[in-house]
Amino acid sequence: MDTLNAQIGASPAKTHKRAGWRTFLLWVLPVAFLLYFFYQPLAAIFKLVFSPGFKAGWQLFTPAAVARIFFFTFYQAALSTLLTLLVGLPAAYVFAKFDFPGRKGLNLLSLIPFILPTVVVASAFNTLMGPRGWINLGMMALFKLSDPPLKLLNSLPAVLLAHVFYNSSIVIRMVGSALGRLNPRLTEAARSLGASNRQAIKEITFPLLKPTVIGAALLVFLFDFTSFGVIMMLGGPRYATIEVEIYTQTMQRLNLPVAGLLTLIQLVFTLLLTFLYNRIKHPKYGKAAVSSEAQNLKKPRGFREKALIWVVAVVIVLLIAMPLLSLVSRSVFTLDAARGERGAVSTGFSLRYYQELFINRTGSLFYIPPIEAIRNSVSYSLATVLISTVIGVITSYALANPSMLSRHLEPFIMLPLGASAITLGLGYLIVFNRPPWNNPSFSLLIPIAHSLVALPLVIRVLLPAIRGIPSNLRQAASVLGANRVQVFLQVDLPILLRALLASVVFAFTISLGEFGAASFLASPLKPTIPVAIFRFISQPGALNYGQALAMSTILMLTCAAGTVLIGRIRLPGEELY
Amino acid sequence: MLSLRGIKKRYEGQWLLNGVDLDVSEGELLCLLGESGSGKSTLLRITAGLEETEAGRVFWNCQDITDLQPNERCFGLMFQDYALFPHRTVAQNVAFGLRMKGLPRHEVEQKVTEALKTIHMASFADRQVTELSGGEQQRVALARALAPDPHLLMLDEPLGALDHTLRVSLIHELRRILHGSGKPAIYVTHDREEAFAIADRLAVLHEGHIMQTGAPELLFKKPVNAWLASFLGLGNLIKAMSAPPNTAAVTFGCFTFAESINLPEKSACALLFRPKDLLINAQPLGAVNTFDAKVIDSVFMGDYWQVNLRVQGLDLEAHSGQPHPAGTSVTVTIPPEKIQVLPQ
Repeated sequence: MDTLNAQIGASPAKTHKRAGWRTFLLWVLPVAFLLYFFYQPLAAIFKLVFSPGFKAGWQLFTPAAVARIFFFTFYQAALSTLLTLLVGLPAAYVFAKFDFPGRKGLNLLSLIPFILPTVVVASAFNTLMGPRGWINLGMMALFKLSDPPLKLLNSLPAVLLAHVFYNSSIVIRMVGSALGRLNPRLTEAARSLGASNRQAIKEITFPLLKPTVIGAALLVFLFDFTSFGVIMMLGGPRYATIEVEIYTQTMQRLNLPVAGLLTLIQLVFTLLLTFLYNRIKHPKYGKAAVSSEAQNLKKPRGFREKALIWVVAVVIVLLIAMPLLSLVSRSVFTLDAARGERGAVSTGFSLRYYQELFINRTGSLFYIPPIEAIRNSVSYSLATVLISTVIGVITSYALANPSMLSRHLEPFIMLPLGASAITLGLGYLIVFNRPPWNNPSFSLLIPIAHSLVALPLVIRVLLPAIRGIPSNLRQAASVLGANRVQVFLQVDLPILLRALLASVVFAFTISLGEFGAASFLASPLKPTIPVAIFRFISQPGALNYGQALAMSTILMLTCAAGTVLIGRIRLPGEELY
Repeated sequence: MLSLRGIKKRYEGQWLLNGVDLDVSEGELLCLLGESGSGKSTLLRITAGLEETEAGRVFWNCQDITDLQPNERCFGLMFQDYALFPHRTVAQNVAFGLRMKGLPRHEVEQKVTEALKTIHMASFADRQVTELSGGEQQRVALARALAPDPHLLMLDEPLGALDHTLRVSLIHELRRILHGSGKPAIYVTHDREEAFAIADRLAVLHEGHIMQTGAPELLFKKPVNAWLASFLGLGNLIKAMSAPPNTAAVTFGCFTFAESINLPEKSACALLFRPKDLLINAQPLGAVNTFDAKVIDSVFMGDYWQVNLRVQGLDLEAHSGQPHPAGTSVTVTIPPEKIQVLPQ
């Protein structure tokens, strides 16, 4: 009897056993990495803001200016979020409810933007609405104008459009999948109890989806609030958000204290948003709200349902397919003479801009051929894959181990994951502005910053996979005589292989397209692809423009290929949000 | 009242409903019986307006309502998984249909209280539906469907999700509430005991058609074919070859009937006789319809012994006043007037 009691008493303690030395060892590397590469730069920014030099900075920058920038950032984010919901919610409804020809293709198209790097999106909109874009070219040819009539670039509408382009895919994916899982009997019950279609949506569908919709809206707002590349390239100098102003203050005014202050404001606000996002209550309705059967799509009937589908389809094609097609087509279309070129220029289809990627023309800025930027980016991305995979695997194993230590360290690990690339860029400039870190031929800081950006996704892919390994497999292997290393190699690794592959592809594409941190850290002689695109597209000259477009197209296709690859690797466990 | 005429619906290319005709008259409790996957639920959903029929019409009091929206039909539907709104309380669930009718608030409240009283759940008004047991959910779903006073009530396997003991106790309450409401109702089930216990009239759906409809006694006494007799579990069924005027050949001999049969020579048919009509050791071998049999076992069933027998590899069941030891040889006799000849 006594032994039985002792056993019962002992069992709850087992779930939160004290960390063994192995768990402790697991934590050493991730914690050291984060301390050195995240908390140290963050502390440096803090120190800078409260340093004596800060006073000098204030003279150049008033509190009113800070407030103005903050409110503009908030305003454009709120407006973008609203417009995104306006496009995303009806689209999510249409994709989750109706069966119509072209549904799959349209749904796939609507999910593409999320994976595209900001510079690609910005170039795509540039080729559509910019002074050298299709719309202006067309209008100039049609009405025999000498100047582009449409001045959408460097305006708020351009930023809003790009944000909607970007984030409607988040809304469509999150809300659409929640809607698809919703038990269709609930609305049917409401209909048979006398509710019209509209009443059923208002009374049943919407209340049940509310947590998901709020969550999606908060996430979109967070992305819009911290958006950098889109605003840099489409908003122009008049529409500076906090992130853009941090860049300007750092790189152009060299006013680091003000940049630091803006970074702190930004950090506090994003943490607040992340906190809110995690606080959203997802009521546990259990089986009642979830349908177990396969998704029940219905054919649209009646004018209103058909009209809704048409509107969604047209908006998605106009908003998403048009800019992307415009980018690709403009990149293979030579129009005017490059600088220094003589004689008649053949206009029309040509692969010239792609050939020029390999050629070093004096007309090119910084005298490097774009192929160099591609080479730089690939080597930075490979380094990112290495770092993020090593840190990610170790951190995931540490987190998967249910111990007291893990519980206390989890927030410490998760906090940096909400920080923006600009914060990292600024912090690194302050702390690591010395050898060996500022080596101009290969800045290790870029892959390190990219690894910190990629870590959340890497961990989110790996952790469920690690948790999903049945522990009895490991026990069976060790009973059969395998030691710890052999157990890892023979049991864990084969099971984790798919998740590892997915996380590698994620890390690679994220690093390839990352713009914010790279714009701070890439040396002028070693630009990454996005940095080079940013420089080339804002230069005069058709060749620069064309080269930027060719690089954007290549980047877009690479990221799309990566996503298709990840889609092929069927991941076990949770969704990627 | 309700008339379905020529309802057709395909499922994955196959005809699930292939011209179904069905009527429900005033105050009648019709039980729609069929195997799972026979299209019973689909027929209900078409009646409710949740699915479209590919052909045929739905009439209510001689008015064509085929193209009406579900909310314009005033038909109540109770789902198999109840589909209670998880974000609403018990009272709010029951109030939903009343609110949709646009009743004033005090009237809604009053009717909800009444409805909860009839199902003995008045004290549950403010509970979350997710906290309820299966039986309680079932009663709330019934109260919710009945509250807005629908013209017709449809119940899709209302006891299907519950365990056996609960079903037995709930079926009588369900019968009381449904008959008390005086409303016409369609009750869908695949369980024949449930169907016999609750129905005024039965309709059996098979292979896209209503195979037979009528009072439970009629289906019990005069099933139209062998499939129906087997589906309803009416007794011993033996495959036979007809030999008019009044005999048929089976694998182990020949049966003689009291009346002449209405079948052509050598057509496949089935012989149905109830276990209580199978007599053990009543006649010597050689008498009419008397065969050699071996006792497999005898099971005590309370009022009778169920004796399982084997006649030349064919299993038969008899109800007897006394047990017979396993392994003994007996004779079995089926009186000619107790045999029904059914088309295959």
